[in-house]
Amino acid sequence: MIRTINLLFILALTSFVNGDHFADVVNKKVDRDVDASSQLVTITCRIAVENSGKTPVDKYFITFDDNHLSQLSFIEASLVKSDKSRVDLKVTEENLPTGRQAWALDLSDNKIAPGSSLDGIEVEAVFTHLLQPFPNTISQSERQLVLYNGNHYFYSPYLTKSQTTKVRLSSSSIESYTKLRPSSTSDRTVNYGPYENIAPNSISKLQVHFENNSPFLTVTKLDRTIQVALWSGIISIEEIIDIHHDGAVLKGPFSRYEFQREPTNGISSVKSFRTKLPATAFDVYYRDDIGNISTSNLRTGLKQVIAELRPRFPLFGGWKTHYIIGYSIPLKDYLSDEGNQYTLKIPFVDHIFDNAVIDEAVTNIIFPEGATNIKLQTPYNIIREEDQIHMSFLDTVGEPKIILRKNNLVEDHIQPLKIQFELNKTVHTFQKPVIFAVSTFLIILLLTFILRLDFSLTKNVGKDGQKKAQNAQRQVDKKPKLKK
Amino acid sequence: MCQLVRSASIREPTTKNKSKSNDSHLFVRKSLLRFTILGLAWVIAFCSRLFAVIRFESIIHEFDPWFNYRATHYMVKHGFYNFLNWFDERAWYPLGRIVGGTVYPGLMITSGSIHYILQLLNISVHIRDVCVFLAPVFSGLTAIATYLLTKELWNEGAGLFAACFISIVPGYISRSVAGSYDNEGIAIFALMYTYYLWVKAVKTGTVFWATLCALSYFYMVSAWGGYVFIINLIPLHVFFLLLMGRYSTRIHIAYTVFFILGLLLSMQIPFVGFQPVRTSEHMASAGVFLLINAYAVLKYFQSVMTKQEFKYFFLTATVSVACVVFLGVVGLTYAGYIAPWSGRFYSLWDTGYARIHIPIIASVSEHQPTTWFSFFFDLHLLVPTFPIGLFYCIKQVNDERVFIALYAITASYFAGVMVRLMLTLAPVVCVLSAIAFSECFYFTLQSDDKPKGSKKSIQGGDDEDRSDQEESDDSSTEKKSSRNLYDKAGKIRKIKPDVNKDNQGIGSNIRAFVWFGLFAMLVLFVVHCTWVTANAYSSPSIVLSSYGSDGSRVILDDFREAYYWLSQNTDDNARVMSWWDYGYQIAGMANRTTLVDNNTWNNSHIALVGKAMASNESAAYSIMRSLDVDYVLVIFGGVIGYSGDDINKFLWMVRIAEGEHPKDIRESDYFTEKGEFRVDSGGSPTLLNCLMYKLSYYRFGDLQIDYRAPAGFDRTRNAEIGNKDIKLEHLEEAYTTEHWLVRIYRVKEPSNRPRIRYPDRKLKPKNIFSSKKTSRKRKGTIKDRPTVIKGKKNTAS
Repeated sequence: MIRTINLLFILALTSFVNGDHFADVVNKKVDRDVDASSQLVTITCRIAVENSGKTPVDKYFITFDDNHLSQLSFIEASLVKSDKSRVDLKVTEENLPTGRQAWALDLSDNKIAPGSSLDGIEVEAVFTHLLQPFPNTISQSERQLVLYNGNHYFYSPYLTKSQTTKVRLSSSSIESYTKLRPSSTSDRTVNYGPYENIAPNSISKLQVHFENNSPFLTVTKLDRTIQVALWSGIISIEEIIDIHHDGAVLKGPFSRYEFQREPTNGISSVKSFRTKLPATAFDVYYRDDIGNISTSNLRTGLKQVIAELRPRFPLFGGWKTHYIIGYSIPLKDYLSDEGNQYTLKIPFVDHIFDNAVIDEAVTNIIFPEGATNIKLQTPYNIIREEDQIHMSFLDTVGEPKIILRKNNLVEDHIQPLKIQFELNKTVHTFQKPVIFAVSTFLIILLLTFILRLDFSLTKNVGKDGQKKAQNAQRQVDKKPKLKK
Repeated sequence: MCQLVRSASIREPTTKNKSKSNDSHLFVRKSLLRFTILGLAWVIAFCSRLFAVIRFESIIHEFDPWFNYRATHYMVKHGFYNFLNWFDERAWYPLGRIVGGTVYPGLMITSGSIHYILQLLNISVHIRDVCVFLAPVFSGLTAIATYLLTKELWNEGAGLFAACFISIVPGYISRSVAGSYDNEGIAIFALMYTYYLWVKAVKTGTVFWATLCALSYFYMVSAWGGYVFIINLIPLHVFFLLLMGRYSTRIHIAYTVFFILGLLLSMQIPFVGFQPVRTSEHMASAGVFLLINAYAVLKYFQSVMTKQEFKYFFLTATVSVACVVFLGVVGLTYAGYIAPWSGRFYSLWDTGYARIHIPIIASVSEHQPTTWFSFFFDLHLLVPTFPIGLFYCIKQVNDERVFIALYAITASYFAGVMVRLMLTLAPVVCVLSAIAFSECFYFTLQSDDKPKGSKKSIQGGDDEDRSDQEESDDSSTEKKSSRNLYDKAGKIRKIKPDVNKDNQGIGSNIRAFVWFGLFAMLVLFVVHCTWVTANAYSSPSIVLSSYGSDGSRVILDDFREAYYWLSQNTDDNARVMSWWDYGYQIAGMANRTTLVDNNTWNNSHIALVGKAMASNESAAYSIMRSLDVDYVLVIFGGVIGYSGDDINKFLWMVRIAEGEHPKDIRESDYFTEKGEFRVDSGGSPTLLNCLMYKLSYYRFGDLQIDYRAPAGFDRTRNAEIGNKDIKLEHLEEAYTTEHWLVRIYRVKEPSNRPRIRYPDRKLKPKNIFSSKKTSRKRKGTIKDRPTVIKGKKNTAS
């Protein structure tokens, strides 16, 4: 009862505030696909939009309910043509007139004429930390159950004529799910709909309680340093990573005996994970504050080098670890130059493990000494902090270092940054050798000078005299001894 | 053949085909050879210590180095003054430890300043790598210091031999491999350098060298507690010189300058403080200082008095001064101003002393008496050859050779008492063996074609050359005296060439054989050293490695697994109880508060931990609660057959606990009636139910490692455990590493009082208390208020 009143109220409010645009556009058909099989929730919507107004529509707004909005990490949209070819749509953040955060899809190339409709808009949104372990503490032998809280309806500022939802789960063992008819389950999916004529901004709570033992690992802090070295022709990358198991917290004792005896014991724990490094990566190291972590493997594939990383201990719910992984990649694959103008293309973050969540990422890029005029192009919004100077071997003025920061990232954010900088090649090539040669020469000169200084109080001529005097002294010393 | 091998080997610098015409050319060649050999010795000293880094990684080893590393890290991070004022609240909970005043800071300052200089030059090296490679670098310096000392004692050739020996001798490598970041790593350099400067000071008798010697001694004091060896050996040397009638103003100047400066400087180290004037260990140096001055005064009076007067004066003065000094020392000791000998000192004289009085010292394996085997193991060829060097030194004795003889004798004794002190013996053995080898090679490598006379001239020239290189203020008298010595030696040699002359044809061949034999021995020595270094002394001991059945190398990294688990997944202020061996490692790697650690300054606290480990669970629980323990860490090697685990150390825990709590813990309770220490079903029930046993074997009874053995078969002790059904009431398993090597238990909070159903209760209160306040019960009531009747015992409470 309360819900319906709410709905009516929201409906009234939105139609009152939004004006004509939102009343004119109608979602003809929406198919939602909610993938909750990993720790991430990926919602893919295929939308057919109809324009019932009188002016062509060149913008379409996407928004989410409060629960989803706060956890949104990544969004992208494309248009699937009838011949199944895809065109990426530009997505810009733009608030709705109600003040709600929303994303506008740019349809200026595919304007919807009045009276016609556009099929095949596909929006993919990735949410982090949306699945809640419930119960949130489990013992070692228990399985991990999680709750997905969503919305039966497609949350949209537009009227939706027909809508279906499919929730994909990681296993077929479902504890419970909300049954808003029509709904059904089959193997690993829960199907809802079709629901007809849903008012804009309608909410009906959807909840699925199911077993999900996929790794719930979160990178709480990623500190990535990329150092460009023209002299050695490599880029060295080091990532300092803090990992936390965000699943159901381990309750009570840990038993190594049980853990070793049964493979299914501690099923939600993470024993190892794979990090995909670039195919040309070499000199890989995997260590932490107290030394090398000896339990790791490196396999070289055609497309990538796969590092099988095993933390020092299995990660149970609530446990965390901290490690450093580093490698080098040849410069030529990532850096191009035209005269003194260089262009570096390197991803802001790289693969850490499948379906990773990165809460906070800081990427430092260190350029060769003497690099100036650094220009940055980013595929998405990144905060650039104040530049710093990094001092390294034989540096005089130091190497410029830029610091980039972004929160809440997923794998879809693995996209290259494009950075341009200027560097005088000749100066850079000869600077360090000349400095080294000159300083060595000066040191040797100084040593030669110091060694030739004579601080003795007496001249060599006097030495004999001194000796004689000592001699006499010795004679004096000796005499009594002889007497004795 | 001689020539061939000679050119192939770098170890025979003694041959000097010198012709006087091209002196400068020869000098250049000689110094090139000298620098090459010393450089190579340094490189070899450095490289042969890198086995552990190459096989494992650049990591700090063992136990104490972890503390040194932690302290260095703290100093680099917070600055030197904060380091001196550092109160470490993470150690010895709840007592804490004042680190700045209880460490020898030389090691930290050395690596800290190296790190600082590198940082100034923008060379970004992590402080850990500086610490790891500090000992190998300083071994190279030790080789050079040993070269200098031997050069002063004998000649350059012997010096080069000594440098080569010290760079590879296992007795020294054992304490200075890469990663063994301990005081000894730099202290042996400081020791040898101080001795070199002392010998130099004795030879020259100048304030300059004596001051340098005192400065070097200061560095040694800042680096290692073994400085006591120097401050006793140098006075001993002076004392013996006095006894031998070798007093001279040189010695007087050298010793007085060294003693005064050394005393003042050594007192600047906070940890040493007033010890040099207040403890018995340092009194010998003061006594000798008085003695030498008294001797000097007597000398002076002797020159002004008649013989009769002097005799009288001498007697009264000596007797009265000796009485005053003796009474003074006794009085001060009695009054408490001078501390009597410490326990560690007594254990140097009586090897059984520690076992009875200070079990904590005896429990350390490196404090055990040395076996003959380990002498050979650590020194190999040098053991039989160093007496020859000593023989030469005594045969051609002079002031400084008295010193090396005393060093050899005292160090041999101490090395026999404690395995650890093999370290101080190794350098002197190298020096003396180098002298022996140098002499042998000198004798066997003389070319035959030269007539006897020219041979002698070579000897003479050599001698001249030697004294040329000595500092210019070397007196000609001494030269004369040393010439005299060589003349004596020459007399002996004169006989030898006669023998040679008789068998001139055979002689050269025999010499070649001898030469070749010596060379082969040296080769074997090198092989032995490399083997020992690689196999015995290059294990970090926190990473174990074994070989699988297919020959592949398996690394067991359980220690770091457990420590890292502690550091990541326990509360930052969690307190971990473990046996003291692991204290430094827990603090260094896991950064958690420990109760006891390897700085075993508080015996009763250690005994309390030992008591907790040796008691049954509920008694241990009350101790652990009173000490605020959150986690208990035990080392258990039963799964992989690791012999250094806590059950094998357990008897020491019992002994140490018994020393402080003889009423609660008795060692005999842990043995069977036959006096055996058994973990199987025949073991004593006290043992099978004590906390350490339970924590080690919890759930182990279910584990079957091998199909041929029963479940719960302990591979370390080769026994099926006696108590398989272990229930823990107050603790729970928090973490166990992959190979069960480290087991960590969480101490539970006290459980709630069990609730008894109303019908089962013996005491049935009539009105069950309800906390709900009604209008009638607005006033508070005391639940079950006892009614006291005078003269009657209240049975209800």
